[in-house]
Amino acid sequence: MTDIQQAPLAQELRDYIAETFLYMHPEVDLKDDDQFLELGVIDSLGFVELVDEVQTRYGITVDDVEITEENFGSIVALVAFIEAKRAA
Amino acid sequence: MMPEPQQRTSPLELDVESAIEQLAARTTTAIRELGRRGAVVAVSGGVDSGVVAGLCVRALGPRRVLCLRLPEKDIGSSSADLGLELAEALGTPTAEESITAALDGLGCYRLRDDAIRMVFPDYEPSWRHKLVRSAPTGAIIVFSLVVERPDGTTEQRKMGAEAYRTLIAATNMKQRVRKLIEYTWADRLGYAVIGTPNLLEYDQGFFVKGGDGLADVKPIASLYKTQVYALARALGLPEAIASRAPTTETFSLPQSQEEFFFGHPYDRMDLLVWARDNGVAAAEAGALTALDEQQAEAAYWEIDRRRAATKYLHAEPIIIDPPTAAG
Repeated sequence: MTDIQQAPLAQELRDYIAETFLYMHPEVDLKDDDQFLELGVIDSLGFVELVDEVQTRYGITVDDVEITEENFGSIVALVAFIEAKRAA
Repeated sequence: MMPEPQQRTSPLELDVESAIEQLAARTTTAIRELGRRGAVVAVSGGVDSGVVAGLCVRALGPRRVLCLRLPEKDIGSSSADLGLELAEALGTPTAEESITAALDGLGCYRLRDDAIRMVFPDYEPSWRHKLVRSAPTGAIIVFSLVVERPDGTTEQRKMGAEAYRTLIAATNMKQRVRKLIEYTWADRLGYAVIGTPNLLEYDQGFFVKGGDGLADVKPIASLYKTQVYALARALGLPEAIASRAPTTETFSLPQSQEEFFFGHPYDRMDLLVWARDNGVAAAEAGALTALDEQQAEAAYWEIDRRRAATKYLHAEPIIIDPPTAAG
């Protein structure tokens, strides 16, 4: 197991993604580095929901230019982005 | 004397007279196959509905085309005035029915105001507003709400998902009520409802399911916007319609399709979609459209994303297979 899989932050995000976006995709076994857009499990508006959730739950402010696949495209990306924001 | 070879300056250039003849003939055939005897066209005062009405007149003659004007309080009277000018120029019958009272009764404006207050809690219905998207950089698209207060000051704030969904649900009612009235007239007259989406709108899913996406025949869904403008001139439409910029006809502040949906002006979008579908590399598409390679890649990404995201809008109802016999 890598560090990211053990981290509580990653588990919280996995649970949120599963509850919010995967309930109609039982065939998807989401890995931490799978790309949400490529899998088709989150659309543009879904990302807006995800951004809302990240801002509310982790008390960070997300600028428009930060709403990219690089920052929000996978569990790995989200963990890195949130940790970097918290450290800033 | 030999005719001079035609200089083709754009891959989208059409022989407009031949195109009009073919589209009109196919529209006649389609309406006949549907067993209808005329055409209802909702005319917004824009170039798409103008060209569709003009093609229907070429197809059926003016007496069998009804130009329907469906004004609404947020849009103002200029669109309906242009619709009347179009009907007069084409010599067709025309009818006008305001959709404002219906929308009011259905709760459209109340729902819209609720959505706007999620973003601007002090919003008053007298303020004008519109929805705008983020720049087409290849990042995930973010929508913001712009309001104009009575003193003329404007403010823009990012929309959350619930506010966005609620606002779109409310404003989609406008397109759906328009369509309801179009079909009511079609029933009365035995006519077909003719849709007005062009290729960009159809291909990229810029329409409301059950609203402007619903029609019996769509004569210009395979024409790029640039080509629609060319046809408008060849059909001799009134200048104010033939040169009118594309708008969304939805929000109370003037709003272009570019700032709400496409992220690029229509002539560039035409070329980008054409290039995407013809295997043109992003660097070359960029050269065609005054974008750098990275910007063209971002545009290609958005084109693909929109196609994937709007499959639902194009989907026919799914008929569920019958249950198999027990035992």
